Amino acid sequence: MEKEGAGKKILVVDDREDSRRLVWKVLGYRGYEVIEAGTGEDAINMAQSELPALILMDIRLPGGIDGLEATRRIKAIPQLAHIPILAMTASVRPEDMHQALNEGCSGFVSKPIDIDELPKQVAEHIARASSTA
Amino acid sequence: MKRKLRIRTIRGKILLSIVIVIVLCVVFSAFIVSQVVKDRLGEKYEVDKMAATESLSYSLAPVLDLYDYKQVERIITSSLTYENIAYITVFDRGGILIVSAAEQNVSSEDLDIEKYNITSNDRVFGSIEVGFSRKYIDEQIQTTTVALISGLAGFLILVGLALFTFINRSVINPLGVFTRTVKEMDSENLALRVNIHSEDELGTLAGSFNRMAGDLEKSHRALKKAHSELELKVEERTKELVEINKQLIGASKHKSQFLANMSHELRTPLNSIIGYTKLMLDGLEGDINEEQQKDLQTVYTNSKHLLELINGLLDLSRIEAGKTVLSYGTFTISDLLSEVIPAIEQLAREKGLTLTYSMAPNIGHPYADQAKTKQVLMNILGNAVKFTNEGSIKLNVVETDKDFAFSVTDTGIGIKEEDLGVIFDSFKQVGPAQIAGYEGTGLGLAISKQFIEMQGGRIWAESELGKGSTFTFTLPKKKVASS
Repeated sequence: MEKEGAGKKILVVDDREDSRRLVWKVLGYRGYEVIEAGTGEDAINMAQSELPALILMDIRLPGGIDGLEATRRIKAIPQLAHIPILAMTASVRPEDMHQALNEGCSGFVSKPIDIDELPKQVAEHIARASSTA
Repeated sequence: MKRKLRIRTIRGKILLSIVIVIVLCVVFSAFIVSQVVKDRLGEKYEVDKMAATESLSYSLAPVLDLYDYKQVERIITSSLTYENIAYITVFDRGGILIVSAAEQNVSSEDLDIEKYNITSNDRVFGSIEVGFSRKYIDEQIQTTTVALISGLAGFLILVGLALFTFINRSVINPLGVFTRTVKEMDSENLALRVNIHSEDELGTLAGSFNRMAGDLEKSHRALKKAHSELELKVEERTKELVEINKQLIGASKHKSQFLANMSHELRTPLNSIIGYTKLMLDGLEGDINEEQQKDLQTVYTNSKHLLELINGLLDLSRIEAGKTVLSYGTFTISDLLSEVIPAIEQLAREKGLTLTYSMAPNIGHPYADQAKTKQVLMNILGNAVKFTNEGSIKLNVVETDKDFAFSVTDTGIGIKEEDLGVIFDSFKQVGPAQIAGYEGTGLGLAISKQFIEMQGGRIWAESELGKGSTFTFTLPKKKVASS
């Protein structure tokens, strides 16, 4: 039986290694190929080189480029603009969520990650993106 | 149209008074003078008449004795030159007219006639009749009277003038100076002083006034000084306040940032704890035995509980910091329910409870904070499921002309009457040991209360111990801001 994520690349961007590993496990067990980036710069580079089907972006990243800035820059690159980006955020403030959406995120998942919800959201957004492509 | 003559100045009034007094004096004295002159001159006239007639008869007596009628004529002709004699007629002893002489233009009505016998040593030689012209004496009286009165009037006028000048100098002019000086003084010209230094009442008045002006000037200056000092103080204070305000804003930003950081910092470890535990529980890392399952389940449940506590704490502290912002919008009841019902339905099914909901088909759209309302509804429905072991949970949404009312009725364990008010307080959980098994953070209802009351609504509970409870909250209908 083919797993739902077969053949699909997911880029997960988070500064904490165990957060990335969790996503890698959860999505990996469902067949997705999960690639990881720890900083905003790495995220942009990897998005360009790997062309993932979806990007999970932690909003708060250390260093010069945070999640929102990385999102902005990725969306600015024509070949990457179609890739859906889900913001991962520990915040529950509506203004933060609105901001994420304004910057180009297609949706968001809140942290701590619900490991049942996450695959569903990923599948849904990939499906939505490919249907509009 | 007659206009009332109004004298507006004291000078005018005094002048008028003096004039009136003079006129009255003149009139009065005119009256008296004319009487007196008339009497005196009249008297004199009478005397003169007698004397003249007597002297004529005396001088005529020897002439008549000699029958010198020519001499008689001469005498009487020369006597005629007296201005008041109009005619003279001499009669002889027998009453026969001897000589008569008369002035021209004599009218008989104006004459006083004196008759006298011409005698000498008791011998009568004849009689004389003299006609005196009253016109002359009348003229005399008139001219005398007029002269006297004119003189008197002239004198009184001079006196009046002198009096007026004196009053002018000592009273009216100083008053004028006073008036003019005072007029010119306003809040700008407080330095002016009345320049009157006489030793009378005006001088005293001027002195007192000047003193008062001096005091006024002093207090005016003091007031100005106090005013500018006050302004300085206000400026200083304002600067201080601006500073403090800046600091407060800074502190507030600090607090916001702190809360945002805390939110992130606290949740991040839990992300891993909950995530990895669930991974293992779901068997994704491989099979686990029953004991491992139980252990992991304990970790998982407690982690979720911890997460709930943290969320509740952060919510409350954000509310307290005034950082919770309401984000209003129009939404439909059905949308709201569709977000909430499925999850609750699942929980209810797991416990064997039935969940029903009802609302009018054409119910309106509330204008409120949808996210917070959802949180409240989830909280209340979740509690209903939690505290009900058998039976049903009913959600009813009703629209009145003032608000929307959401009520959740369950057939649960109920709440004691005295606890009905307490349950909305933070960290208060009610109940004896029998409900000790029901975990909760104790924060849900407190937050729900805040979220509802922030939107201007009310929230309350009704219950019967052992039978069930009904929790209700209202969302007021607000005017939708025109956009």
